[in-house]
Amino acid sequence: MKQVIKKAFIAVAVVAGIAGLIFVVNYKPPEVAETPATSSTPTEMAPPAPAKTIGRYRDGTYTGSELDLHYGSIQVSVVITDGNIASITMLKLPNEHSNSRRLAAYATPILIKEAIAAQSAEVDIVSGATETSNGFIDTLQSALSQANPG
Amino acid sequence: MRYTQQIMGMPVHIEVDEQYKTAVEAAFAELRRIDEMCSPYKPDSQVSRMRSGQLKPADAPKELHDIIAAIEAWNKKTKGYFTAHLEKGFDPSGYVKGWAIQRAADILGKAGASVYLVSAGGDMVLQGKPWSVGIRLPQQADKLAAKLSIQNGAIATSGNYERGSHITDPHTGQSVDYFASVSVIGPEIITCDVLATTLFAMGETYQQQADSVVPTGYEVYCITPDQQALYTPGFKKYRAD
Repeated sequence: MKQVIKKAFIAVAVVAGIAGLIFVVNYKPPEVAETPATSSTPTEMAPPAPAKTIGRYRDGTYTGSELDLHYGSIQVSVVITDGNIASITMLKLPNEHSNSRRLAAYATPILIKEAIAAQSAEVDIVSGATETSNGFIDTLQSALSQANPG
Repeated sequence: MRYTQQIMGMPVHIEVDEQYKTAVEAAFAELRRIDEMCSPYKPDSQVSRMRSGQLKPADAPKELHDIIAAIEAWNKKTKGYFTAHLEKGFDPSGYVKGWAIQRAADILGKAGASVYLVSAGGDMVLQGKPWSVGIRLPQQADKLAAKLSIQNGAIATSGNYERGSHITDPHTGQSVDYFASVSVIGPEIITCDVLATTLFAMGETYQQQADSVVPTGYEVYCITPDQQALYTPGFKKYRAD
């Protein structure tokens, strides 16, 4: 169940990401747009989707074309498992110092996934939910009782 | 010099040059004053007295009204995910923590300090030099998931691992355990703190909602229960692994 939820989550992330890419690509000359990173475009064979599923895709690993934007390159790789997007990897990102606010605006909330390599390195200070007040948990519970995720 | 005191039920660390010791004391005093006003666990606090009806909202100090107004604004921005209206009664703790950290940091800044750190319960303001900051691995208290370098910014982390996963989503009846922790890094601590709480509560609906909630300039790093990291592309600029 957890896996299904995760896949749906990431699928949404990818769709949002691709929407962002297409948007960026569309304001470049047309020849750049001929190979958008959308090898995972939903097929017409898609069955009626369950409530939280965006669409079904063919299994495999798909690497999008490297898009040469005038402020840098961008390229993504998408892994499809059981018809759902299992992971997305940003192979290339535009220069972070670029002044492209438009791309940054899309890129900001999208989450990329990777395995954690745990470390015990020494640092000045550690950020963690180590000592929160009881009110924090109460806040969450109450918020959720009010929230309508749609 | 590192100074530590137990305030608001959590260790508060301030690190700054010794010449600002007076400002450090003032900052700690300010945090205690805020706790006396806002703690829902102290029966004499103004928040507790509002909850019990002893203090009419109209008679509450302006400062508390400002806090309530700020929480209401965040409530709107986060579509109800962030709130102070709890079943047990009004509790602004989720906002006050970040706000208090900022107040303490402001005291150090106004005293002339340019290099300092103020941390309360793992949420912090980092000024004046590249501070080395670890994000704790939720599953192992002595391990880090990531090592960062932050200068002139803030980081806040939300999670429920210290108390176990007992938060349930009333829509599904399932425990909210999509993320083990959510960290938010950005220019300003209050926003980081509120967003970390909000995004944690959003869980699997993060992506549908984050776009309208996370402002430009704020980066997110989430750890899942199976120790995967999910992070925004801009997070990389803080990495010092």
